[in-house]
Amino acid sequence: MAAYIENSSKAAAKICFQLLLTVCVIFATKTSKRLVSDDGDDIISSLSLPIQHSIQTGDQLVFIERGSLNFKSLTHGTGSYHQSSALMPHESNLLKELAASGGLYRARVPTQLLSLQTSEDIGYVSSYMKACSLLESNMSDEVTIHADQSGQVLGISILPIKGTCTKSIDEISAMDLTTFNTTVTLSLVVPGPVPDTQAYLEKMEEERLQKKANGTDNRSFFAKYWMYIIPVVLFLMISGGQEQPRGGGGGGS
Amino acid sequence: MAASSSITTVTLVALFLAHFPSFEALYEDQVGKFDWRQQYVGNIKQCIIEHGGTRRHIFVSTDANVLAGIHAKTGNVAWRHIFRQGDIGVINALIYTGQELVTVTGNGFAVRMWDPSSGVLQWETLTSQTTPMEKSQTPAVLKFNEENSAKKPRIAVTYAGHVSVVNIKNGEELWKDAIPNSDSVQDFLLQVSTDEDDDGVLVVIGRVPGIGFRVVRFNAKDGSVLGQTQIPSPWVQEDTKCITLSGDKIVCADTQSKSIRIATVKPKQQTQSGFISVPLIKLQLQIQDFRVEPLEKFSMDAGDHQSFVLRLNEESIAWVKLDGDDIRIIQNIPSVLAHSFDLYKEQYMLTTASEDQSKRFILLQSFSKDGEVASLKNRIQLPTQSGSIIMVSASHMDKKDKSIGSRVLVKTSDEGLHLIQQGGQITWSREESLASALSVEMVDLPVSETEAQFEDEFGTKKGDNIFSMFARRISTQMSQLQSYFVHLKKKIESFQHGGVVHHGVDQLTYAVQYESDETMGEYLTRDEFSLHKIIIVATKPGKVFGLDSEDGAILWSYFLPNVAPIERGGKLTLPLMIQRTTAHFPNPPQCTIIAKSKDSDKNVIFSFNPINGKPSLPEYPVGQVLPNPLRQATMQNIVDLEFMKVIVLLDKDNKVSVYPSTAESIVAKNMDKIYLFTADSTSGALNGYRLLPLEENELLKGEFHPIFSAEEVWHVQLPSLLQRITHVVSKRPTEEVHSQGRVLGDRTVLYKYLNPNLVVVISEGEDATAKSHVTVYLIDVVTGNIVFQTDHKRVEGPVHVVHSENWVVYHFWNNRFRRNEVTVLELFEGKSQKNSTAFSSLDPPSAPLVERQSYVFSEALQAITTTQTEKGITSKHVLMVLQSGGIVSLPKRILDPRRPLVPTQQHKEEGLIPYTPELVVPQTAYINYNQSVFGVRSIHTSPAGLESTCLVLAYGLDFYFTRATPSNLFDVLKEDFDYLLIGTVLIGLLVAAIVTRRLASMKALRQAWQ
Amino acid sequence: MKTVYVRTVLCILTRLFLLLLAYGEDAVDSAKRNPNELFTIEGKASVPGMKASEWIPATKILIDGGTYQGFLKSDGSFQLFVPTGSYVIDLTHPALDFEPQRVDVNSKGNKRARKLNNIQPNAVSHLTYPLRFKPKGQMNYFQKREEFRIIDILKSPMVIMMVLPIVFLVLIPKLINTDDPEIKKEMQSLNLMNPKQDMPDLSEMVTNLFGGGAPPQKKKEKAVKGKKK
Repeated sequence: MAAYIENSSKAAAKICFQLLLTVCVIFATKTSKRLVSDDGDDIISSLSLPIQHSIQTGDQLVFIERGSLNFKSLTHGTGSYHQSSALMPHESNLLKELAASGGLYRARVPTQLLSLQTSEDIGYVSSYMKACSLLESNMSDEVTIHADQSGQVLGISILPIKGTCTKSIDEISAMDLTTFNTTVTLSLVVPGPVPDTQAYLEKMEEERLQKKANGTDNRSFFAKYWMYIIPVVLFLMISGGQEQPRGGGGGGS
Repeated sequence: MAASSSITTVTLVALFLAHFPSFEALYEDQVGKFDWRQQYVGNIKQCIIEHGGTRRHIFVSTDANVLAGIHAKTGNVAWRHIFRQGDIGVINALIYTGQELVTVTGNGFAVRMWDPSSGVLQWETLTSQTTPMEKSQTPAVLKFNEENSAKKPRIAVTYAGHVSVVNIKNGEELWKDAIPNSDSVQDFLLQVSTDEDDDGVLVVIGRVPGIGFRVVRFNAKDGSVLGQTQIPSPWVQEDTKCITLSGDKIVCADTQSKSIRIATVKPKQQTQSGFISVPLIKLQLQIQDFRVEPLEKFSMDAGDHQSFVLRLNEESIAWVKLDGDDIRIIQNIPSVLAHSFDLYKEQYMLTTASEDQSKRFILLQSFSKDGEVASLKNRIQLPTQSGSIIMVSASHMDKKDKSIGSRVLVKTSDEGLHLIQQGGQITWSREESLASALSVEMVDLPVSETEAQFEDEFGTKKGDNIFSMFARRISTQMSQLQSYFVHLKKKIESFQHGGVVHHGVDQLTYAVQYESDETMGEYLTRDEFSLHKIIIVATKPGKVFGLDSEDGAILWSYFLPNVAPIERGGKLTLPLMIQRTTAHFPNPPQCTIIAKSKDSDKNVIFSFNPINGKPSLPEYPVGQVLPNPLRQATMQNIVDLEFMKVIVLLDKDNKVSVYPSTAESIVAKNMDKIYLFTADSTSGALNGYRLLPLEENELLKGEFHPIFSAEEVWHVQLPSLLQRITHVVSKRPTEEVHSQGRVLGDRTVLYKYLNPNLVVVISEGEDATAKSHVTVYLIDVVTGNIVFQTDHKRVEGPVHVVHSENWVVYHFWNNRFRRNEVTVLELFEGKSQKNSTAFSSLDPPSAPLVERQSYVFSEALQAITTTQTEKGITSKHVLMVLQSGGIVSLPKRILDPRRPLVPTQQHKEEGLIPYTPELVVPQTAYINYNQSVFGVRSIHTSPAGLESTCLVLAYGLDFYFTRATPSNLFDVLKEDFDYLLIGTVLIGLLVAAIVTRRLASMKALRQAWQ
Repeated sequence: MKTVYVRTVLCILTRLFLLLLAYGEDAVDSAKRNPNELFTIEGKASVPGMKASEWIPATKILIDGGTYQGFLKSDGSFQLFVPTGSYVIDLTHPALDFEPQRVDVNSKGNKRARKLNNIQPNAVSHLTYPLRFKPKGQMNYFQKREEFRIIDILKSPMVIMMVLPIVFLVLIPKLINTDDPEIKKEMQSLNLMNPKQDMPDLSEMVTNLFGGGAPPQKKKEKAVKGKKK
């Protein structure tokens, strides 16, 4: 009898345990159904973009490799520039020609976005600056890559440190141009502002409590009505001053 | 919980009242003095002249999804209902039974009944219990009387493969059934018939192109299916026109075999006999293309007439009757522009409009089946700029002397409506093309002749010596004196007559043409403060108007018949540019419109004088056709020798030409200052171009030959898979910014980032998790630099944006919290300015500080803009047209992103209002008081001569014009300036002073004598 | 043996039953719940003091600012057909001010009306359903003109300063009989008409306070004597 009871209690415990397990499994799957991850695409943790430039005058645009831009993480911030090779002398001459003729120095960076839509090869985003201002700033420029949250490149902007062009042709031809001194930044989409209802409601609560605690205006009587008391006193003093001397004069004569 | 929210609102209101800038608001006696409103209905689709009841109204349904009742006598809108835009609100059928007005909307989704005199809804029945589908086909609608009793009118509607029958008297849905085998059916026809047992039968005929017709018979009372058959007819195509006639007949126009096919739908399950073919040659009619049309659109032809209309060659019509298996012509009318049928004493009457022999008049004729009614023949002359007649709707009734009379409503190709009563006179005309106004500009009036003569005085002719100039000045001043006396005389006369009246209607509820007059010349001169302007409106059918800003009357109009608006990014535009204003006498002012040609995909450019509406180049009265289709046309700020601004045209091959072509050399000189940019909404690509001269061998001769090529210099790619660019908004080029920075509380200056090349690009769509998403980009369009980008998640459009000076304000619907929100972005350079004289995008200041803030707004918007004044000194107000019909003017100060939550002393010094998350719109901010406006497409502001005043025009279905004074009228004496009081006080004091002096001297004298 | 068999069968059955409960409910529910099903929101608007034909034609119903549309019937009642969700219902009229309400329609068709609170969108403050709309008041678009009131002029200090002394000077002599020599003396003693010798007195008084001296009295005596002559 005892053994039977023991057995049955063990069995009951087993059943309960298994029931519990099943219930847990059900709940787990159910809740996981409800948990939808917010970001559907993979987060790229680092970004490396080859940058190309065009330094030739004339109608045909030829882009040659300039280097690469590396970003360690996709947070707003700076990256690094690595030049693939120093500028060859003939390239340097082309650049000087471009600057002398007032042409445009262009740069471009590939982007994934175009190729998603069309089945062409890589699409590029490009920008430009005046070639003479690049030389003016001694090959120092600032490159900003504009990207959205998932790391897709939307645009590039390339700006010289000094935007004016004051060097003469002789000065230009005397320059030695080999490496670029580039500061690289990554600019991402900023989340838009939301009406700040939380902070406001808290502020309202605080003020309400304060008002309750403070009570009514309890400055002294004088402090409230000094504006009216002073002129009356002055007036009395004046009329009192009149009486005295007159009284004195009348008494004297 | 309730207590806390009420306390919140109370404190909110208290704070608001304490800190809110004091508002300017209208005074009650200013109502109607300088504002006016006009209401339109749109391009009418269907029109019914009321023949029962009081016969006072004309019911119309329009392309703009508007149902309206118009007073037949005056043409004013008696009542109006605007349904939602798009397929959900399209009005498919308008049926008038004599006592009830029924509409079927949403492609069969909703059936509603309205009271004809007041327009109030009587009942509403939906034919579906789920939200309407995105794309649905045009429904078949039929009004019939069950058991032929006028007391049981019914309406049958097909929708989504179902047919529903509704009782017209009370809106009760009698039955609804699925139509079996309706998968490949393209559209349906409905017919009523009687059973062998004399029960009413509703016959639903579905057309399957290439196969034939599938016929289903339902019991009209309870919807039970009585039978299904098929009529095979392989000649039936998608566009074959078919109609149903009483007596179970179907008639189709088979253009392939040039014959009319007639079939009888046999009751029960008998095999259908198919179509009998009646070749049209038999009827000796010259035909190439023909159609069959029913006499009345949504009901069975009355009685057993079995007649229909055969429309031949788009020119002539034949009123035809079925005669057994053959057809017989009742009336054959060649060269008809439009026709309509209506019932008069149970008989059908045909009204036709055709061109007269002399081509100058329109001939209106009425026919009964026995022939023409001679007494109703009318010859009318339409206004000159009306185009041709495209639609006619008539109603015949008994006049007081028991003879037959008619009222005819005519629609012309310029979307105008004209009502002609018996006698041949046009009673009223409505210009409904104004309801589809696409572009609006305001133009100053020219100065008076004498003023102009002053310009002439310091003569341009050489060899003028002092004496001749002196003589000219004397003569000018003499003529000025003369005109002044004439002016005085006129003023006295008009004072006696009680004011100059230029038109007969007091408050214009729709634009009325001015009578041309000599006084018009003097009336159209610039007034002292340049508040009187001409409003140029360019509309969708290609009609251009010049409206008087005082009361909205039409000064002139010009119709371009072969012109259509340009479609860009899903929106229609008609670029209208003011190339030269009236400030450069003697050069006449010029405005230019660029449109698309209706016949081809080439563009048309048309220039005209905005003061009198005449074309600038008389040899091109309907504009010039450009050889290459355009991608873009922009007006640059470069002027040629005659002060005309240059328009740069970029065509599809990226070649650039210049209009006017005489300005080529000037543009060539300024070539390196011109940058163009394009934005493609579907592919999300933005490109910037600069101009390069073309090679010699590519230069062509002729008008509009390209002289430059556009070379792409930058490219930005926005994500386009799930999002589309919906707005590209730049600043107004003529905008003046008065101050370069803001003075902060500690007396330092925060300089504004004033980039004239900045453009706001907004793209709406979904993000990767299928939630709605809006992204805002601020892009410099000379270098392609994205200055700032921000996004809002779970936010839906339509987004309304305004971009001015250094700030951007935009409004959207927040889907997460289910409320409207307004966000403001303001850009600053910082404590120092890089270049205080000019901004160069190639050498820009460092990235600007973007202050941003967002507020909850309680209303949805129709349109948004900002006030604009001549010098920019007056504070700016943001004008919003609310969906509830009001136009509110909110000061920019409350949309200031620097508003602090907890203000410190410095903030108070600067004058910042403390931050409250909700923007409350006070009732005094409504500038249109109780003149609500609906269907507004956009709102346009223009500076007036006075610095404090800005002229505002909201346009769309409703037009509303008023003046906005954001800082009150600070440069003019106020209206209620007490001249009387001050005058009397001054005179009284003067008199009192003299009298007292006299009295005092008399008293002193008396005293001296004592 | 038999008990073991029965036990395992029971185990399996209970598990299956639980599973069915958990997921089956979902399946059954989703079959019932058509996300596009339209529900009816009913309500009535009334304006005390105005006839229905005066205000109904100009009143529009805005749902979520125009996303859906409804129309008023001639007795002021209305029916709106919307799918599940939360909506802001607002009535607009050019001259009347109505308070908007929020209505939540859940998937089973239960409707709940609550006060619209944009700052705390989830705050629940129940309102009656079917909806009842009554205008809060007339829309007040205009500023009042500053009316010209004589009282305003009289209250201004400039006028009081000017007019009151004149009134006193004129009225009081009229009231008192000025021919009486005694009253004349009194009047003169009041020093009203005398030239302002009193003003410097204040400074005199202050110097008196800090130092003594009676010299000013002599001057004054002489002056008074002169006047009397």
